[in-house]
Amino acid sequence: MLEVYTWQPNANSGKPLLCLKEKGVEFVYHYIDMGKLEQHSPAYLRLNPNGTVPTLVHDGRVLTESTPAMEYIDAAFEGPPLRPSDPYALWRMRKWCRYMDLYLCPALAMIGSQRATAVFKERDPRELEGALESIPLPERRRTWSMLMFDRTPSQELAESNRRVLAAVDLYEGALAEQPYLAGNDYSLADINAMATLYALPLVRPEHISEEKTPHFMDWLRRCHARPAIKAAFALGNEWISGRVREMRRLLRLEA
Amino acid sequence: MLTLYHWEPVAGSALPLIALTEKNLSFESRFVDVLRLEQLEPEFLALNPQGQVPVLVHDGRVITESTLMLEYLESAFPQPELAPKTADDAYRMQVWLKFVDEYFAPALALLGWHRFGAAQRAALDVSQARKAIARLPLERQAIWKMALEDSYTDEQLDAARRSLELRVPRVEETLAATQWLAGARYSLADIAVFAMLKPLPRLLPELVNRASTPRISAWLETIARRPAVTSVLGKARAAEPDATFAPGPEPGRWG
Repeated sequence: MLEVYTWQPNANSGKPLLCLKEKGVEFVYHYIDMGKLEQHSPAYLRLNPNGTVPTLVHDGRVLTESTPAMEYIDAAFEGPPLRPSDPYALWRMRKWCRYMDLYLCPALAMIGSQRATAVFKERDPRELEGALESIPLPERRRTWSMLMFDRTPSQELAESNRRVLAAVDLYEGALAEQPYLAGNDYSLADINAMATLYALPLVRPEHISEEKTPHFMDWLRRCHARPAIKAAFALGNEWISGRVREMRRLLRLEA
Repeated sequence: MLTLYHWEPVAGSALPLIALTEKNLSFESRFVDVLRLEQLEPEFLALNPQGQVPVLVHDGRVITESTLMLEYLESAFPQPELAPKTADDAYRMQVWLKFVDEYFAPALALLGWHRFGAAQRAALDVSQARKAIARLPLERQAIWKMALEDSYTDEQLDAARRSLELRVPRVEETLAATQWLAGARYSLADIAVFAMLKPLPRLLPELVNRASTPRISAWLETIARRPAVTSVLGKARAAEPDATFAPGPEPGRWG
């Protein structure tokens, strides 16, 4: 049996959902409410002492790193292969995943999470200090502290914005050469990128459009047209499914 | 044909040097003197715009990122095997490779350069160095600027130390449970983590020593005795390879 403990189909939380839908693998979805900081609750920490989402449990084995977990899913289950067999295409797939995990996703998460600072302003600071203490990883604690007390340095946010725009150019260049990130076939690199970039044109319309980034838009259209992508995002809350609907209209996949 | 651009057999450069030797592959070795900033010369940047060694060129294809280069070598040259066959163990191996990129490599480069880089900094022509650094992407420029000035903040140094203090015990625990990091057989995970941990008995003796990390100490010695590893380490040009560091990858920005 496969159980997935995760938040919404968004960023790292979304990666196993998108991947499992693509493979056609049945799973039990345990919703972890990050708004209530459930990923730092004692019950969850017993499962994953790092207090990060997602966590997968397959026949007793606990998997807590989302990108290696996607490779695990691809290896352990039947269904369409999501990794190229050619060594160079496979390297390219993994390089895009590293780029997303260590470079782009942190920049986007820093920007995106600023929406949450307003919520924390209404909370009792002593209660927030207590919440911080239950975060096991020092890197995560530092991040949450900046977020909860609205202390993300403005130059760091500006740098993250610069990186996002540079990334769009990089994707546009790569996708001008080939239909998917690793090559001719849809792979875990596309799933990893889609989980985070699925609605990026909605927040950067001045930089991402059919005119300015036609190949990136075509790639988004190819990905959003996949039944598994639609099914995975349908698991999301109203905010996420609303953004996906808006994207599908923008891409002319629906009226 | 295989050509490897590499520095001393330390940090990232050690990874492909060991793997190529373990696999008995012949390759053309191109030594890039990182402390003379040869990796910032236009010819090298044409290969890797990040200005980072190692770079592998295989039949004209350029492969970067040392941990992913190991996986490339495994898929292009599967014999002798250096990756587990089961999905479980392959997952564990990939988690270690990601840990090397995310935690070990940035923390070690920062602490090692801060501690042992004074002589190298003094030997550099600073105005020449600044000109060369300007050819890098902005985030790599920022890393080099701090490295040249040794202007790391206490917070950065503490975060690097804490990151290692948290992860080194995980290596010790893993080696208590299994003979090698990804299970019953020596794998790419052992090669990559070995290259990271090898200088630690000297850099942070309170963290890695025979008394508090007996399994790591024995594991480091066992790996160093492997013929392939002995041969690679024997080719070091530096008088003290365990005190030889260079500015490395960027530490995580957002948890």
